[in-house]
Amino acid sequence: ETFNINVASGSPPVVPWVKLISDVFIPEVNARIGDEHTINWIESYSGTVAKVGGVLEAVESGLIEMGQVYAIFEQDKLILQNITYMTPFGSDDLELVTRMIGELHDEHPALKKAWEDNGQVFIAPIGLDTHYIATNFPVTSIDDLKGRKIGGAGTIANWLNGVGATAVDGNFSVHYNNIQTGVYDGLLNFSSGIFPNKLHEVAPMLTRVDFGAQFVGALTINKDTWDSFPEEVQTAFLEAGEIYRLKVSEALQGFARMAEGKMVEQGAMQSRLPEEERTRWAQALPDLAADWVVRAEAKGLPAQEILDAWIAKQADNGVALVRTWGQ
Amino acid sequence: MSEAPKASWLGRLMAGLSGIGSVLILAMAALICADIVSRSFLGKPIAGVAEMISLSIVAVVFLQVGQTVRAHALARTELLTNGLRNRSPRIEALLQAVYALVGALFFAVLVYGVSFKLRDAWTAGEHAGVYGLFVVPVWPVYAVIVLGSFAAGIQFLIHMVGYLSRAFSQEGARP
Amino acid sequence: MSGLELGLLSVGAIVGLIYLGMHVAIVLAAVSFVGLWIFKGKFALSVTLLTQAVTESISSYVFGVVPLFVLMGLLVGKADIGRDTFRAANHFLHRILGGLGVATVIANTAFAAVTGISIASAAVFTRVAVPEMLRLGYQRRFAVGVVTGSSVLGMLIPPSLLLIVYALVAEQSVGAMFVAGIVPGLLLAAVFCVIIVGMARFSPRRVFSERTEADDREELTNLEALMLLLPLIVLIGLVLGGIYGGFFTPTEAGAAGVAGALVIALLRRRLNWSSFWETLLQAGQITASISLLVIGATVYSRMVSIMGLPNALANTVSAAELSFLALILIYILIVIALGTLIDAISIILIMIPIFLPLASAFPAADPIWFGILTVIAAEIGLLTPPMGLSAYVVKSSLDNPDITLADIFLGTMPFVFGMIAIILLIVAFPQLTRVFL
Ligand code: NA
Ligand code: NA
Repeated sequence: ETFNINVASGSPPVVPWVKLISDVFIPEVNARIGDEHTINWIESYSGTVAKVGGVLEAVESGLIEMGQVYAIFEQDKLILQNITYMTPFGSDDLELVTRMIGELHDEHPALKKAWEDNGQVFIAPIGLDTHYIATNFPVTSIDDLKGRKIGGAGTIANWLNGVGATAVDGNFSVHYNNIQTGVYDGLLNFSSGIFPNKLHEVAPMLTRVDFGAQFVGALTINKDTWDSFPEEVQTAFLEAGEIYRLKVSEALQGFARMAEGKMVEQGAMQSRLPEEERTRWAQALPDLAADWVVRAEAKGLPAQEILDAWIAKQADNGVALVRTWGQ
Repeated sequence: MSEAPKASWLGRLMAGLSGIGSVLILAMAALICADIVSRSFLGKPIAGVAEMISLSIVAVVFLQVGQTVRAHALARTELLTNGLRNRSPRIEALLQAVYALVGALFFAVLVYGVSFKLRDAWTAGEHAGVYGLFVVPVWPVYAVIVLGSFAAGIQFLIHMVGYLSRAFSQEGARP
Repeated sequence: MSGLELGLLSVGAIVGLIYLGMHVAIVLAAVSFVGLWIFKGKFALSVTLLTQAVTESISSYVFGVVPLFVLMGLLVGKADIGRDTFRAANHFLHRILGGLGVATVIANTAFAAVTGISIASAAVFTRVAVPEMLRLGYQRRFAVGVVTGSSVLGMLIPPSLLLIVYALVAEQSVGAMFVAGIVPGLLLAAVFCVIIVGMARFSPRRVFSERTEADDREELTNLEALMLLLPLIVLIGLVLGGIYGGFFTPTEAGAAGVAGALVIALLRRRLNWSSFWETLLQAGQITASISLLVIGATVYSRMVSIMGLPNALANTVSAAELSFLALILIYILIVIALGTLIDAISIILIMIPIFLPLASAFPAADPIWFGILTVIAAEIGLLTPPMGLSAYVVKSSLDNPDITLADIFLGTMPFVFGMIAIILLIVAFPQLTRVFL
């Protein structure tokens, strides 16, 4: 059989999890389906078919067959998939976090149902490596952040406001300029994003806070397309998805370590926020998860159950939690 | 072409919508300026400016679009139609009627398609922004798209009727 | 039908229907709608394509630059800033041979730094520069040619609607595109000045009529002339200083520019309630027209992506072993050819989704450089018959029926050659677009 698969992402192929669709996922699928089936792949990255916030709908409608869906841009339709952003200060091991998220999807039908309600099937999770706070002033205590303006868009802004800093909206195309000219004094971001954008030049104090690796979204496939697949093709996609997940984690963590080394080489000062300060930070935040549970349960979703399972799973995997969210 | 009298209430509606859209541009400028001042001098950016701007711009366009169609201000190349107008005005009017019909169909599909998005956004309680900081429901913007597209579609139909009556009138239609 | 065939057929249908005079935005959307419907066989998918493009393509903070810079440009026109800039430039340049022509170019260059639309430049300088040149014995063909030709500076020197549209479609930073436009814009202005002085020196009959040159210009002191430039300098400082100084995003600079232009127009009592309201409505209408174009183009570019057209074309080009230079030159020729009939924004919207991926396959490709080339080549279309927008605006702003469209197109020819020279220069020296980046 022959299938036409157009796979899309709102991000450009310089992002590892986009590049690895071409370099790992597609070849792994092709190798597994052998000569019995053929897939004609069309790759539409950089938002050429849908922007980051539009991929969910594009896959659901069947405009494209596969896509990289960012749950962080779907705070209402994929509310449950925003779980790690509501429970920061978890593990920094991206491979572990995406593995636990995958298991959670297998064990809790509500999570897979969220994808199916949007007409798609979850193939592989994608995530971000640990977050740094890069500043042009030294940070040894969370008190140092009080009254400071820090760039950080989206849900992570909630992490900043809780310690008396002011989150200022920004993105990678404006961070450099904004820090240089004092629009803000630093930013909160994942380490593999700071280096390529040279942000350590203007915010050379790199403080690793260990907010934990984050579950961002997933590689998904249209439900009807999925149902049209013979079983061996479905298996091929899931197996290729698992390899893709491992390679993405490896690539991001490898890149993050390389970036950290390079940034220090180029004059940045790297430090780690002391453990007691990290704990203070976690305690200072409002209970993000509790608010999230209320919002999700109002929509009839078993958020408390999934939150409890998430906390238990982290404990089972030896993740030391500095705050038990949702209590 | 002269406006049909029955269109005058529609004319007022479109002028009204376009007025609101234009004021909204000024409001966007004011909001951004307020954010710059607040951020620079008070150290506090205004929450949700990016979301408000990105939603407002869509509203600006669709509040405006009926009037834009009414004023024949949608971009096009008029070389052929201008040339035809003197040589064979009947054919020109027919051609214009076809273009107007396609325009009406385009906006009809938008009304149809965006209505579903409006319904979904309403039932799912879709919001733009970040919970905990600033959120704003998105359904009003979809409602504006539906309303504006409806007005523009009707306006195209009125144009079409005008062109057709010109094409089939006795004198062979002088504009 | 394969995606490639269907995609190419759609592109042909789009160009044909635009020539036939259907509304550009609607052609783009309707042809893409039908094309995808044939390709996928599902009406509902085409509906999704359309609605997603409508709700996504313009809904962004960055897109806020469009209405803001349009409104600012209109307010700047109302505030008579163009007229005063011309008076000041004339004061300083009248001793040069062909000085009034050079003054028009210089004033246009300065005015371009606060307006983003060429039609504003064309309309303003037709009214202020043409009568003055005719009065002082310049050939009418030369006078309208200078005004029409130099109007293109309005959309090359930042801020510029074309650079914004390119940045939006090609996913480049608006600020970076603005920075990249500075040097090519100034170079083009310099080439225009050289053309004018050269014509005045070596072909004076094309520049001056038989009449002796009267010299009854208004007497200004240097200080008075400088004071005339003050509002312009303040606005340039606010808008461009804000962007390049890093204080503002381009969207914020647009908002600050609106506030600045409004204050200047009010201080100079050039605005009352009714003219202000009219300006607002005009800004709204231009915004709607441009935004619908962007929506149409989004529908179209997504359709060609879904059909895999860019991928397939890239394979064809690499199979043809076309050199990068050959590809770029072919591209520029197509853009200039389309420009005879199609407006500059539509050209960018049609060409970028197909050619940018093609060009990007080559290591030498730089999307910013590619954008500047595209914008200059597309702007040539503003000056070429039969459909040359700037020439039409100049014609309709003139109150002199003796000057025909043919006069305008012929008078503008030397400046078209100047633009082609700049394009070739930038092809040869791509770093010209990277001077400040
Ligand atoms: Na400009
Ligand atoms: Na032309």
